[in-house]
Amino acid sequence: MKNFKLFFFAILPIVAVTAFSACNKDNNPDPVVTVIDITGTVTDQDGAALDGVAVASSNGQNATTAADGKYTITGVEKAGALTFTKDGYVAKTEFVNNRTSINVQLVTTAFTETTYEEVTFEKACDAGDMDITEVTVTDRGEGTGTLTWTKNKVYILNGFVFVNSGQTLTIEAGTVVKGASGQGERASALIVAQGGKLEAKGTADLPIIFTSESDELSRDVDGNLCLGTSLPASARGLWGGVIVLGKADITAATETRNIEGIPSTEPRGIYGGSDDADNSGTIEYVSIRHGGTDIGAGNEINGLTMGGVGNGTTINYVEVFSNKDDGYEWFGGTVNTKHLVSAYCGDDCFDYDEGWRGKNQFWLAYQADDTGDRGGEHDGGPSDCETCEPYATPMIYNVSSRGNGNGRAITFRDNAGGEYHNSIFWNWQRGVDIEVRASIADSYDQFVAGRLKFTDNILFQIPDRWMTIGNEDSGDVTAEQAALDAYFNDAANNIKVEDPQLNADLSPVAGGPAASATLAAPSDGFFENAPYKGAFAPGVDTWIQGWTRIADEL
Amino acid sequence: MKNVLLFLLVALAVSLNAETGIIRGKVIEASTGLEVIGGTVQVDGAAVGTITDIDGSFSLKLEPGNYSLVFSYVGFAAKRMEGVEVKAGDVTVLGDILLEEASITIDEVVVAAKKIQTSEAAMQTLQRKSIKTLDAISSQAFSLRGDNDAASAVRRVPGVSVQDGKYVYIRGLGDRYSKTTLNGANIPGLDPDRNTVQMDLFPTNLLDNIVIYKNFTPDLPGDFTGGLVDVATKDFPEDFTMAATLGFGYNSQVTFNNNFLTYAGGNTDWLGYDNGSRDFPAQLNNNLPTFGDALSNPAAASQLSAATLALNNELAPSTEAPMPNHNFSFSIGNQKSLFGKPFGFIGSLTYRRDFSGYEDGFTGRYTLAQAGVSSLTTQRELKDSRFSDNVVLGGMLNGSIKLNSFNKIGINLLRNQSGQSDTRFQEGRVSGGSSDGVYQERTLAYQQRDLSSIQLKGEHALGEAQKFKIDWISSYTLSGMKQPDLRFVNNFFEAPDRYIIDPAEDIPPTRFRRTMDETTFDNVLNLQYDFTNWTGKKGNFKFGGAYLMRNREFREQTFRYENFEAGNISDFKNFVDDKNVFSTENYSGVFIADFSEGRNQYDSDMSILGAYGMTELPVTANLKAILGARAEQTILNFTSFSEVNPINDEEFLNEWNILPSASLIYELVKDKMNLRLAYGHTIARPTFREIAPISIFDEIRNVIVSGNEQLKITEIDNYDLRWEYFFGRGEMISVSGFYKQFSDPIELIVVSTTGGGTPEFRYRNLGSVLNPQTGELIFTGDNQAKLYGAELEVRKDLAFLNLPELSIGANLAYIYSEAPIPQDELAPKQVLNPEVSDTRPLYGQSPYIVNAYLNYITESGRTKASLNFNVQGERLFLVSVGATPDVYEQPFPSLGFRVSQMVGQHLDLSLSLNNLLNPEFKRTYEFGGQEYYFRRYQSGSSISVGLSYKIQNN
Repeated sequence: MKNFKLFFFAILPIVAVTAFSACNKDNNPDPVVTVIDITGTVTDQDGAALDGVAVASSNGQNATTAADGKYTITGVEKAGALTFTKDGYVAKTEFVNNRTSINVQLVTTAFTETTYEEVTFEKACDAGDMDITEVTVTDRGEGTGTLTWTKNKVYILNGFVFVNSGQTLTIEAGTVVKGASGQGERASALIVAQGGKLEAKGTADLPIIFTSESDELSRDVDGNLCLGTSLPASARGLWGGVIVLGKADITAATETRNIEGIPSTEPRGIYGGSDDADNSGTIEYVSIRHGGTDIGAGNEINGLTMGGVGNGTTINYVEVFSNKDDGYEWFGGTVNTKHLVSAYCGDDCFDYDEGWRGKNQFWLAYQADDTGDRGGEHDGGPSDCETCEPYATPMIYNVSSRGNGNGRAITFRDNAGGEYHNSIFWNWQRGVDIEVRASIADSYDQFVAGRLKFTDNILFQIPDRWMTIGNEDSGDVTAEQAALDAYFNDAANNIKVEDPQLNADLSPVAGGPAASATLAAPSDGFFENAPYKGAFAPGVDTWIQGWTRIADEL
Repeated sequence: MKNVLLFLLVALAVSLNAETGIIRGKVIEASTGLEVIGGTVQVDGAAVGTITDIDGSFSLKLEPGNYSLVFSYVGFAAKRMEGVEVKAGDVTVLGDILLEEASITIDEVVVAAKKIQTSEAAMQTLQRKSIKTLDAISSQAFSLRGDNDAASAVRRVPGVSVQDGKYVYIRGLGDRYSKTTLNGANIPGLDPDRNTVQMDLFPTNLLDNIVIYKNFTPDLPGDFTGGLVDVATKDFPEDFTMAATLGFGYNSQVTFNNNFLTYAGGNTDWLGYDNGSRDFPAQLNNNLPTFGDALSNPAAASQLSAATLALNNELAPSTEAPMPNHNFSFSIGNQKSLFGKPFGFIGSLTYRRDFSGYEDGFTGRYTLAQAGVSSLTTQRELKDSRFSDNVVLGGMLNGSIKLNSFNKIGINLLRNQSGQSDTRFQEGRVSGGSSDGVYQERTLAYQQRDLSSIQLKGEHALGEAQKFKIDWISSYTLSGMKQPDLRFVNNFFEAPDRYIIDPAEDIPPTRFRRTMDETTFDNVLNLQYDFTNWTGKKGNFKFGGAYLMRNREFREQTFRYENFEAGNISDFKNFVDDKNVFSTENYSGVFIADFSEGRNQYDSDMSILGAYGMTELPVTANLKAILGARAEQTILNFTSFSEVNPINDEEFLNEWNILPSASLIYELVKDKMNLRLAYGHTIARPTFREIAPISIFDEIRNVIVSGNEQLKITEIDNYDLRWEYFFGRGEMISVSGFYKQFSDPIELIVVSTTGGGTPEFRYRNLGSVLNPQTGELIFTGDNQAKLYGAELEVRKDLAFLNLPELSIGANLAYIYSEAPIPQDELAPKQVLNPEVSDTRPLYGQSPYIVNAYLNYITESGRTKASLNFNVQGERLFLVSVGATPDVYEQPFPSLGFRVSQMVGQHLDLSLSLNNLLNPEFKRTYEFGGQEYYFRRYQSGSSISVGLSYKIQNN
């Protein structure tokens, strides 16, 4: 009821004065007048007047503030804008919107700079107490800056942390990066914006680990590993994930799009363009664990999300472990990958959309017994542009894909193409689904056109059909199924249904069916000579040893 | 408390001194419809008389007997009324006495005493005489047509339609461009996304009249374009009045239907509010541990599972047959002497409970996936059952006192409470789901709204011949909206008992709590000076101002169930129990997580300062002009509690708008035919929600909606031409044409987002393009939307067919609107459909609106019947993503019939039949000549009976 103190009598004089003064001016505004004069005061974040602030209008008028912070600028377009700049302060643009008085507050750049807050403390580790330095990184719009994160510190991502355009974030081998817990706008994630670069080069001995704040795993001030109670493999969604956004071509009706979960109010969330050779940096020997929380409006985040990433980028030896959503998801782009592990994820292991066209070799998909959807979920264009080009045509060699007996090994739909060769798929409910729709183009059309291939693979322990026409329209698909059956049975396609004979570490038993392959991967400088089926060579240690979390579980 | 109130009302209402009787009436100028202030009322042949007061009203206390009264005023022909009977202890009400301007031929008119009530004809006098284009409905019309709330009553006005039974559209322009006031003062709406008030909050028995202004004049607030609806509460009853009503209704597909969906609520639901039964348990509000905490700390783990189990486990609808709809109301009023001054009061209490819904509805989602196809691709097709239980409880107390003949002040207290419980179950097929099972969606919702307002108002006449007039109102309103526990669950079901909740596929089961509180303080002051100019006609100068302050607080809590492993629920009734709740044993199981976000919590303040000057100027004997301008200053400040991008009381708007207006009224035939021409410049402000630069998930539409702090105020130029002809008591015909041009209208535009992600919509001014790299709006010149329309209204009795008891009325509006589609939204459409139109109708705009009625009333007025018909053309409901056709709401023709019969002196019985045609409510996509349903249902026909008992002297 405090407003009631402003009883109407109090405002009578104001109203009366305003009534008469307002009537004196501008009773009939001339519609052709488009420029006006503007006055105002510029203050800092504490309300103190700022002098020497340059005021520039969008139509080229200029003014400067006086000692009392006041300025007058003439001849400004009513529909234009004023920009206020002063060294040490963040520039601010105000739309005029017919206003004749515009007061502005400028904040110092220090106020919006990304903060790195360090704290060193003693932590109980398996090997005794160790000194740990934690650095909490908070992005206030400026991004990480161009600098190196080192392994003698643990970096905590406090919310979304962007590598802005023009910045390069280097992460030293062995560095532990942790995501703070929280969902929605509080979700933590490392996001490489268009034009930014991430140079994260770990080694098999010193992998870079992205995990949750709740994970005891750390490195001390000397770079030694501190272990404690390990998070259970079932811990998913404790933080966000890693997102890389590039400028390569995507299949969409617009040149750029906003990545899911980051609304248009954050312009650093866009991806797509026309530079297929775009380079977003290097991600090597990186393990991304226990992430996948909802980063906004029901959009759970993938372990590694790649939006329009170009093939100048290097992605090799990456693990996503116990992510709540998909392990990896590509939205268009051309990036190539090698040695990817997607293990214990809550949704699909490998997912692509919007016309991705990368080359890939040595993938491991491994589902937990109690959760997970598909091994591969592959879509073409988005629902408003399914037949748009470029088509999704990634080439994938040497995949080991082990389900939990419930999901499907691969679904191709929405006009997605793609090739799988020299691979093993076992312990799925269903094998490969290729969708057909009566009225519109779908992945079956890509299959007929030869842009969807599945040869030299082994299928095992899949109770439903090996290769199925996924029928979305309940029409008659007998002919399509027959064509697919013929493809499956064609000896030239070399699809085997047999026990691949794998060791406990998933490498093929020497002399077994998976230990050799007749199809050679293209020799184009990217693919390696790997004359076996699945991700692992026979007779040698698997490449997941030493740096992945899943290697502990097998 | 309420009992005390009733007692007071009755105590005040006790009858008059039995020795004498009272005559009351009101004197008005026939030529203008305005009250005569300071007119003389003389009892013929006696030295007794009085003068009319600020309302034009008078009151004379006389011994029982028969009298002749003479009414006179300078410049007007006196009128003698004979045979006015006064009974001991009674009030004789004369109603309106019209004085004609003096002429040479007539100096006195003699009439017989006859009671005239507040009538449709009197309202029509106001309509005829007003220099504004307005339409009005009287309290008599409410009861004749059986309209229970203001929403159903306003539908009878030309060009007015009502959406969702609540929101007024005038000339098909949605709530952004329409406005509602109570006694001339702003009252807030209760929906955070809308500008206007839910009209169903006002039961008609509290109301004196509803006036709809379609033209801007400077004395009205400048932020309406379609129309301004002013709801006026009852003021001075002329005599003791008391009415009680009771009604029951039966709906063909709801009442006694055993499949009616419901869920356990609180035991005060029937009173329109939740008694706290839906509040979240304290464990959720006090440091609920996160999953991460629980994994590293066993105490936190047990705290988390305890909190999860503490939540009400009811997440699925149950069924129970509802009782018939019912309602009652009670109102009482009188005019008494208080401290020797005339004091009028009215109090009322009203209650309604309505059950509605359907069980065989349908919802569908479709997309156009590629060029050259002949059909849309199915995304989901679900069978839809939805039932609602809606309670409205309202009370009003209005007191007015005349300090003397020329000074009147009043107070109005209003309290409305409404609660709606909604239960919904949908089931069917979705494309690309993780399971081959049936998809199911369940919603259990409760929404409570309340509004409390106190208004102080006054009217004063000063100076010689009362040439100066002042009126003012100060109105303070507290309003609130609460959704205490909105439960939203979806899953796949595989027979016989496997429920799959897959968080990767859709949003996990979620519970929301939302509250919105608003205070609105509005002050209006009008000063008027009357003059008589060279034409010999009266004109005036009017000045005034208004100051509005509005403050809103919006809060939202979101909790989600997490960590469902596929297939672990076998019984929906025990959604979470000891067996599947999170435990430290293997660190798995279901837990509740706090998903509340700071960006969804906001405060906002808006102040609007307005001032105007205008004149009503007779130019010639037949031509009157109204000229003037209003200036309004809008200041809007916004605070968001986002933890990432907090906004601390930032000023998003600070703008002056000058709003000129000019109208001409030319009397073609005296008192019968007018021609009106009007121009006005008006504005439409962005709402708090639209200007807030935050992105909020709308779980009903399953989209993200983002605001934009760069939004401009929309400016509109309005042109109107109207011809009208009044040719008998309550008979008229009018034809209007109008043109409106919108600069920078605000629209909700689709943003291009990752295909699998949640679609995003964002508010923009038309013609502005979003630079995705910088987030800046670039204003292009292509910012104009246009609207043209024509309106026809006819009211006629059928006496010429020898059927004087019958009258017919019809009004129709035809409107064409066009807004360009912004280039960045058009480009994706053109990829799949190069032929796609680059314009579309204004959002929510119907191309036509038709209202028609047939009324029957016997000469005694004891038997009444009416047949009403209403329909409006298809209107844009949803702009689709990409090239998929937009969704339109299809015409919903509504036919109703009501008959009532007086029995004895006080009792009135009525029977109503509603929604007789029972058409399908449809929202559709149209593609390749085929209709695809976005939503479809029938609401069923209903029959209701009513009983009303009324005491009114005379």
